[in-house]
Amino acid sequence: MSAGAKSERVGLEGVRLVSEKEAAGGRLAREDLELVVGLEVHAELLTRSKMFCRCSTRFGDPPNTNVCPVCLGLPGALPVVNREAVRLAVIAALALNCRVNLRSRFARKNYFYPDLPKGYQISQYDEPLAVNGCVMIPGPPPKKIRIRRLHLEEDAGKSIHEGDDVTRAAYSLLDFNRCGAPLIEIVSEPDISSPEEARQYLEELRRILEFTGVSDVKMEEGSMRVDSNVSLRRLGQEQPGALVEVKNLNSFRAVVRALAYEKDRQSRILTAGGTVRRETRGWDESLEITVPLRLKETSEDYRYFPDPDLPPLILSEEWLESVKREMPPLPEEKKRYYVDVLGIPAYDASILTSSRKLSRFFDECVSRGADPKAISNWILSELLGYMNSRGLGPDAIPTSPEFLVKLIRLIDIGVISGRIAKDILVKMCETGRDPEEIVREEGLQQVTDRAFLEHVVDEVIAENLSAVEAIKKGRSKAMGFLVGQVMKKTGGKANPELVNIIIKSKLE
Amino acid sequence: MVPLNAGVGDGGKRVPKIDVRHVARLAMLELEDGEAEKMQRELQSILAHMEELFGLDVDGVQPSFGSFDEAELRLFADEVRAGLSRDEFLRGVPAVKDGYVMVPRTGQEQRLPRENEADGEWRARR
Amino acid sequence: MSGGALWNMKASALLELMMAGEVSATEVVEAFLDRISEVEPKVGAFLEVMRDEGLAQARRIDELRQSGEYPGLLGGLPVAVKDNICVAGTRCTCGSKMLANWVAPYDATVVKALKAQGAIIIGKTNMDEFAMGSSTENSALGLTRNPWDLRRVPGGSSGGSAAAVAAGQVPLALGSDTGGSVRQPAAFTGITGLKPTYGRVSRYGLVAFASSLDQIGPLAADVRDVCLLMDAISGFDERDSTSDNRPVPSYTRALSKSAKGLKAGVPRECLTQGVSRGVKECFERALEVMEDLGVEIEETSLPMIRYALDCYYIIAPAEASSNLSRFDGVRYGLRAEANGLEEMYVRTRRNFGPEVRRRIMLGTFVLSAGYYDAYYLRAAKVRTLIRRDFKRAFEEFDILLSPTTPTTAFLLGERTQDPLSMYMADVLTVPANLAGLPALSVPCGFEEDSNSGEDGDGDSGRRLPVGLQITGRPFDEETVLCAGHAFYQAVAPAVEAELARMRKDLGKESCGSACPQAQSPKGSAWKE
Repeated sequence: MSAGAKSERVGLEGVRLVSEKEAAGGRLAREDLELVVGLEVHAELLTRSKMFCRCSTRFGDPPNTNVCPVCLGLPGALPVVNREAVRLAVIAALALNCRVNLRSRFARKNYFYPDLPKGYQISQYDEPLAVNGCVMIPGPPPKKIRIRRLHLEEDAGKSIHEGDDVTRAAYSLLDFNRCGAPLIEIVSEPDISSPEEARQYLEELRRILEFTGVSDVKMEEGSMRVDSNVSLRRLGQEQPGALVEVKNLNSFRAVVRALAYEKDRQSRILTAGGTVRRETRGWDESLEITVPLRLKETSEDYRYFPDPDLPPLILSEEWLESVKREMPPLPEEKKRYYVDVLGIPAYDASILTSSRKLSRFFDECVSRGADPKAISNWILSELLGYMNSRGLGPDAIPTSPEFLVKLIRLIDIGVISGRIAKDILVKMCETGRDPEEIVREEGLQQVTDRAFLEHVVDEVIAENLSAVEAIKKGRSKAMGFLVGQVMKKTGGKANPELVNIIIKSKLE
Repeated sequence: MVPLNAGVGDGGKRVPKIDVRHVARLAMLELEDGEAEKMQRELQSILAHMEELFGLDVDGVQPSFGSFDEAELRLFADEVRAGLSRDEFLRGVPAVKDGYVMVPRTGQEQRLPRENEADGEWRARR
Repeated sequence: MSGGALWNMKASALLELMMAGEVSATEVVEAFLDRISEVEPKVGAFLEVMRDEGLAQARRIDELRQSGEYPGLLGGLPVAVKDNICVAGTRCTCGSKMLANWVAPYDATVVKALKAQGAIIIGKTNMDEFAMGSSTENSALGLTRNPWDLRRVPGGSSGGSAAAVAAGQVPLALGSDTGGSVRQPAAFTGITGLKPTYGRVSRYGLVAFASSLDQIGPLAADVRDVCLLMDAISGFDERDSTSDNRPVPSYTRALSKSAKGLKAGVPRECLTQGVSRGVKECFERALEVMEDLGVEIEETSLPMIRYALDCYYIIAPAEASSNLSRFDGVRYGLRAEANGLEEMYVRTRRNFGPEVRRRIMLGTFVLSAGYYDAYYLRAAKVRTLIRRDFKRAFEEFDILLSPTTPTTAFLLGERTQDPLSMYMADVLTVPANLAGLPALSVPCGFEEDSNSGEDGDGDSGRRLPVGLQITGRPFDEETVLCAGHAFYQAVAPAVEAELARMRKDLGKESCGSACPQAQSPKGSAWKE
């Protein structure tokens, strides 16, 4: 294995130089070319234990602490299948409108790599868990992106590269904690024709997988990863050109930029009369370009064959039905419910359903008896406003549904005013405290204690008998005077309406 | 079973010529010059021996990948159980550094960005 | 009680003596350890003998018995384990340089079961590297000889386990059988060996050769002892997805059933596959014995089994090529010094022996792009046809009978240069693996003319044992064992007299002319 990367001429690799004449004859304009993209998305499933053993899937533990003979591929160890991984994969398949195969099979994908302990990855090949799904992206115009297949597989370990190639001190450090974690791979049809459509497709996929609790889809932690197959097609033609695989797409932004770059690169080659080479390229984040990856010629022959350690995965109709029955609602269904039943404006509903955590927060508020529209307004304007200003995601809502509902109830029953409530919400978010506690401790409540107010009213009446006489004679101005006196004695916190009522009742 | 003395070519044109160097690369085996030829001869004669299989009509026959058709995969509860401690694992590892397994570095993904290399590499080799 | 008498006894008899308090487990283990010391330099059955652990275990069993506690089904019986089965804290070499110093950090499920039943694991036995071979000559770590004739192979790949039992070094042993690796050496060494139904015994902790064919199986002097081991190791294991969860009968109890009225088929194809005259004659006498026992015998045909060996030599290497990818030097075992990763891989994997390399190459080829359908998939379909043949046969018959091997034990070195002739040794045993069926090899006598090989002198004067193979329906080990037991009872006096004579001679024979390389070539593997 030779060390050191070849220096490549950025943007020019893959160009086959052709004669002037040839180029002129096949004149091709950029506008004649359409981007054709298929995406392969890997999402790590939210299970406690790994795909084929019972080691923890916890993220961030010290290296090589969540390992066992099975995930380390020790001689003699055998895989067993995690039921929850299968359930989550089926939920994903159903949520993506796939047909779930009641019979599927695990297969071995054979290749050598240090973080792949067995020398093969257990995946699914010609009998995947699910096929023929689709996702709608909003557009405009809205478009259906078809999903070819969805299958289960295991993750590899992590490598950290150290040392430098030139001095040949280069080595890799391996951590097998993640090795064997359950993944689903979702392969789209090549229906995506712009970087923006790719972004929307990924957003939608992320929303669905997060919303249904299948995965936490965090690209930054590697629990969602994207590879793409990119080619250009002459408008009006069926057959796309040579397929270029682009890897190392570590963020949605990287996907968008890499696709735009590839479109540009490939069109330049084609319009110059060249030929795009079928190859695998990597996205270089710092240079914002794709570069060819030097893959071994042999790495393409994975010698898939059915894993003899695992009989076929047979799902019963009944089990599939039970998964369907217990399936969490999809974001679109939930949104429709918010709009149609709870009367939430469509835009607000789509924000509330942008994440499962947020939607669950809202649902719990409603189930605690809060008025849906009022609570929605509070969440969208005040709570999310606070969270956005602090850079908090839906994973980190800083208060509880219980407290938010309490806060709104305090306004409803007149304990606090709406204006003071906004201040209290900030305090709730900062301290995680109960709004009632804050109101009480900081003395922010309106005085509504009837016995106390009656006592104060009695005092005021005794001290202002002339005003009382005036009221009895029908001079309404004096009423205001008496209320003012009560407010004075309570430091402004008495509830004025209640004071009015008490005075009236005393004078009847 | 065909006679033991069946050699290369006995079965006619069906025996493919094995590209032993290519197969060795896939299998991560290194064949020295003399060994490659010997291996070639031996494999060819084994394949020639299997010629009879091609006379069988297997159209429409379901393959058996295991011993029992009726076997169904059992699924297990998603519960964490203790595996090996790091020491138990690393004790048998040929080279260790800071709790990691150490290996010479592959030349495959040297053009990868430095950030997030671990995840990047995961894709690079697929 | 003299040590000599103890090591010459069967496990069931030893168990009775121990339960009656007439001998202690310590005495039993000491007797076998002494026997190992005595004959191991000639036989070379072991890669490791766990003397101290064995004696400590024996003392623990004795204490249990003294305090009135039940020490388990196999309480105090020494067992040897093939060196591809993991025993925690002990080297598990698979007969390979690759794993010469690998210490297993966990117990195989069968080893756990043995320990739970009070068995004492006293050694790890030699084998063909990664169980690939039929003579144990492919071991990278030692040479094992056939105790009946030290110039001959003990069979393989579980040759060490078979030789150890035959030589009286241990009463019970475990082997693994992928294409005959328990039955063929059992036949070559005049003892009994069973390949259980696929799924009957857990494979967890058995270093995989061909996962869809591998089964762990017991080897012992007779069927009753085989049943003792089966009672301990059979049953469902949640760690093995291919293990079966139907209930397990008591095999020992099944032996009391009569074989009378059983219908036995004799596939005519089994007598045409290069079976030697001596073996054929012996087999025919065995059929007569069976008939005398009231077994109804009829010739039948399984036309597809003529394809079994070809089918096997596609499927087994294919699975092996994948199973052996994990030996890459990264996490365990041997790692070669290298500058780069790929160099490390290929240098490390240089340590596979020639047969293992050959099978990895063959398996990689049959799975590779362009050849998968023609070879691997076709073989998987032929496997279906073979299974159908058996299924049809078992609608008519309770058991099928054949010789276990086409010939008796061949000479050391006789077939090492010709892989195909070595593969032929499995021709009668692979069908049961392809179909996942239980199959027993039980001694049925001796080849009258044992000098059919190329050896001119033939001066050992000892006739070589022949095995009878009894194949049964899936999970019907009971009928197989019951028939085997009934049969063995009938031939036991003759067989056991020869065995006793052989064992006695083995003890006193000098290591002279009959034993070209007298010293054990792998003394360093001994652990004291």
